Amino acid sequence: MQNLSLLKLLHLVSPALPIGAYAYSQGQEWAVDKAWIKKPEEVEAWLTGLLQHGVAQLDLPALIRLYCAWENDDVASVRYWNQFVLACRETQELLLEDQQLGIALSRLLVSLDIARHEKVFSDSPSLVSMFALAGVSWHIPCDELLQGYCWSWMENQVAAATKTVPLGQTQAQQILQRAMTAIPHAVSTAKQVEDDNMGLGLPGLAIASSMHERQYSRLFRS
Amino acid sequence: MVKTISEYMSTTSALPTTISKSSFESSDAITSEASSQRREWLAKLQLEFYAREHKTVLRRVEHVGPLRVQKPFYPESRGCCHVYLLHPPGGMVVGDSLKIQASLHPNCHALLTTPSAGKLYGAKHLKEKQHQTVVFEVAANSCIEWLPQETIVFDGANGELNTRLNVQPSGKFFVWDILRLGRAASADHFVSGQCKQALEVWCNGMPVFIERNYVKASSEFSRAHWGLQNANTSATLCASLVASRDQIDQWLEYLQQHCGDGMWGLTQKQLASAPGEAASQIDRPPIFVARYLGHSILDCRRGFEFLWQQSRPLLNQCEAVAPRIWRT
Repeated sequence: MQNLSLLKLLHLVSPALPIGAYAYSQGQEWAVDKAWIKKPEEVEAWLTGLLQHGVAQLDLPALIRLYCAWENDDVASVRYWNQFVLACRETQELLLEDQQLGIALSRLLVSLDIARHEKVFSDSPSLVSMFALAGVSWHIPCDELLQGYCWSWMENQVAAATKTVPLGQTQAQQILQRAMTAIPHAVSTAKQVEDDNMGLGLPGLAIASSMHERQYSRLFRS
Repeated sequence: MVKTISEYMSTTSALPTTISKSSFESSDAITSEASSQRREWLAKLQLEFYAREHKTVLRRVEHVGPLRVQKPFYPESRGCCHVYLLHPPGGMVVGDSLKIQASLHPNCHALLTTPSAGKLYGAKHLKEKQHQTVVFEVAANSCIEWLPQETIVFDGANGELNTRLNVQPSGKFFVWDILRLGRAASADHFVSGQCKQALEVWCNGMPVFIERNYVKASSEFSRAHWGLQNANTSATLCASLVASRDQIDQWLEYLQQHCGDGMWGLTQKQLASAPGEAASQIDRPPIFVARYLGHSILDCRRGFEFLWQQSRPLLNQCEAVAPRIWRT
């Protein structure tokens, strides 16, 4: 059998994957509006900070646990960690984003003949849960799946910044080149995170996202 | 009045060092200054609330070490039991552990508060932590309100503050957790040390709301815009109520106008049901969240009290009656 895992990963993290991730900025739009982020260096600092202190503390450790749970057909653990991620989402917008991307990926996987999750959730699932299922179903090694998740998140955040800050295309690519070097460290951090320490929050981001919910004029849904 | 550490230490050494373990689990550390270098002092308080015909009563109180409750007050017409928790030493030094546990049996209504701020004193770079664990068991149709004063984290502290609610789906709650870093008034800034803080709501063994912060002094977290932005007051309020968009807009406007030294974030979390389901099949409480980040403990407290007074009718159909001790 051919090893297609790399190609499957590229498929999963492609910005053309029709789940609508481009519609969300995760509070960045408000942070820019508030002039917390003005320059390309500040975009980069914002992203690497969120990656190391947010994504690496919740999304990635949960992705590892959900990957194992799907691999072992452990539905109770899938439900538990899915619920845990949703309970950690700081605001309604961040929760809604996670569930809307989750349900979109869930539907897409069904159309690609993956249906193991159909009776598992009574709420819309977290994106993290569906990402893990795609990884397991397509035999993508967990390590690569983690990096792919970070990449996909980062590329989307930079794409948002091109509109909010705004940035030129070249600046955006330069930020990506530099910021991606933080991904391996985030992945190794995530592997060390124990259950009781998962989900460390970011107070400033939580406020930014709450305020974005009431932002008068906006391009993004989060 | 804030005691100095030496005053506190002399107070503690005057108190008995042998503590009966009573019904608590045997793994808990008991004062053992004599036997080792590690100093540990455990204080525990366990409360149980039962519903009687016209009021909620506090029936069983067990305590170990210096944690107390006063005789409950009943300032409300519908029998809500107001309880003040006292920790006479006034603060926690390294190795101290406070455990507060309250069980609300069905149909109870209890409001718990503290007369003064909690304090985590400097730990002098020792590895031992200062632990505070608060656990509430909230049975069907009961309502807990946990409205403590802030916790002041002194420079050099090594604290861990956990607040956990285990609620039945019809259980109600209104809780807040206010962290004050350093003592701005006496220019004692929080430049070293750390504090982990968790506020969690669980329902039938599943997480409903999880907020965990790991505040490390002089770190990227304490400076960054996504972190504390150098603010010394960070606070979260979580309640099982549903506020409309208009209500939240009005509350936010008030907070920004009248408690505007700092930033406010209000949000109503609502899980989206699975496709084809009209509503979630899982019964659990709604989650309203308010957060404050800034430099004014006064605005933070006033803002939280405002939200409590405004939203209490939504929570449990009662008008807010502020605990008397807040006004003294």
